[in-house]
Amino acid sequence: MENIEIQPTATTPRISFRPEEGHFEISGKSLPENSYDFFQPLLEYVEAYAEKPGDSTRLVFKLQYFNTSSTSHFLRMIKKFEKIHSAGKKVEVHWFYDEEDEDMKEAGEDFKILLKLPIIIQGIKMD
Amino acid sequence: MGNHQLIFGYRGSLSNDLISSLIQLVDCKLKEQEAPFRVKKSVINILIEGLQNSLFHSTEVKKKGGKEDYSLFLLGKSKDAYVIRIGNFVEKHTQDALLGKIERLNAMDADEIQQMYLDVLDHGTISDKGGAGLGFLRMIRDSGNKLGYSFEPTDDNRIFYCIEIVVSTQSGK
Repeated sequence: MENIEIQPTATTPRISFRPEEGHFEISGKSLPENSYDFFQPLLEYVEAYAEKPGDSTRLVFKLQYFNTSSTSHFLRMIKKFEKIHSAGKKVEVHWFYDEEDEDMKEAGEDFKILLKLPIIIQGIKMD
Repeated sequence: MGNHQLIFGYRGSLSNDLISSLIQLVDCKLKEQEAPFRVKKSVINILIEGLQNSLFHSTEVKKKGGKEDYSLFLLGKSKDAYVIRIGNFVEKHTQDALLGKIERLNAMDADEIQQMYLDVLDHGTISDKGGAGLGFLRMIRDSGNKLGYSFEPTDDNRIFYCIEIVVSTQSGK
């Protein structure tokens, strides 16, 4: 599979999917007007990866802002990684938030309630 | 804005890029005012949901051949709270559905709102517009307050529909 590198815009996040390294990262601001159009191709890509996943996979979120329709797609995406995890492979979700940003921390905790794979929620310094 | 000092106001058409710029401006304004991070984040989250919702309504009107009209956005401050008002025109027949939705949510307590947020996030259907029906829930959850609203009839059988959300600057939600 080829890597996906999408540069961020004012309303869409940076995407860096490097399947050979088992590294999938979404960062920045996610408020596309039509989040389905933006995320659907990425979901299909992850679905293809899930058919032949690596031994160890990391899904990393480092977000500043998001709209709620993006959240729904994040959940759909994490669920695809959850399937890889329940098939016995190592999968970790790393949910980073600005250490001041309690709201973003809570957004990570919402996913933890809804999902059964390891989600590591960690405050860091962000610009 | 009544007893509030107006911090920022916008009246005009919206696009998603414009929403992003408005958010950046409000971010700067709130930093300048030394608003606590939690308050700033809540205001911005509410703006993202409210303005994108307003953009959705005006796009719907345009799709049906209606003329494009303005949205209104006001950010005000009182001694211990920020007040956000977002308004736009909707067709008259949508009033009952909007009113019913808001009143149902306003009757719920914080735990019920949180539970419903998770339920809709987990099971809600994603419309082809990408909206997931989580916007109002997030506004209520982030502000910790009920949604205020008004519906003003216009001459041409439409409604100017406005929501108001208060974000307290005191600690806790």
